[in-house]
Amino acid sequence: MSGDGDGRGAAVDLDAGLQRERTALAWDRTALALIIVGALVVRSVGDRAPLWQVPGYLAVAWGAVLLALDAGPGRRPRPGADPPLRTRRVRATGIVVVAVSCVALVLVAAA
Amino acid sequence: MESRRRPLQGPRRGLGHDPDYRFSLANERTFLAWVRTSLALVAGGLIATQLLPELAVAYGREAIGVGLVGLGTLVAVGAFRRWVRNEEAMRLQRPIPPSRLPAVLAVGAVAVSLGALALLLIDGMRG
Repeated sequence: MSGDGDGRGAAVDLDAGLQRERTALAWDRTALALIIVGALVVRSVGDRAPLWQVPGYLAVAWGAVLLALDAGPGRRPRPGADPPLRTRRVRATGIVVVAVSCVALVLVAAA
Repeated sequence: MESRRRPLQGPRRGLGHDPDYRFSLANERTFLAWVRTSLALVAGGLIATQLLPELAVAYGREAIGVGLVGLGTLVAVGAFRRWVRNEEAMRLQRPIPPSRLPAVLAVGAVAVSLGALALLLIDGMRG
């Protein structure tokens, strides 16, 4: 939470509900889940079809990227800032999760 | 008339006004919660397939795995679509549209659970 009321019309950035911090923590939890499930998919595929490991590795890598993006207070998203970037991050996460789910579906169906 | 939306199409650009950032962040956190639910289902399906012993019913454990992972996939797709719809509703200052995702998850979870229970009971009776 930060405040900057210097009385000269500067933007006051108050986050009394700690919204950004909670959102950053939610991204961190999701990133960890992505890493774990990605590793699980890679392990489940094994040597059967190396190409099928790609979504798993992608999930692990994307999870690591998400953790890196949120590292440090300077990287926390500013209020309402960069909607296209936020959209891309959400969409990329959705794509990775769907890709991993599809691979997992093939794995369990073909088991 | 609204054109059909592509599955992973984001919010329409330039639509309405920037919503209160707190609502956008709340929408984002909701999306992430659904994503984690999806990942948990996928992980559960993979683990069930690999760790459960062979059941008396042929392909029984695979069916449980497919049920869980399939449900996880549905939730993942639905989560993104819900995020987009909520973002657009907030930008247009309209009420958040209702979602079928909780019902899909509830019905799917009950179906998989009942199916697993039936398989285990049959396995117990035959074993």
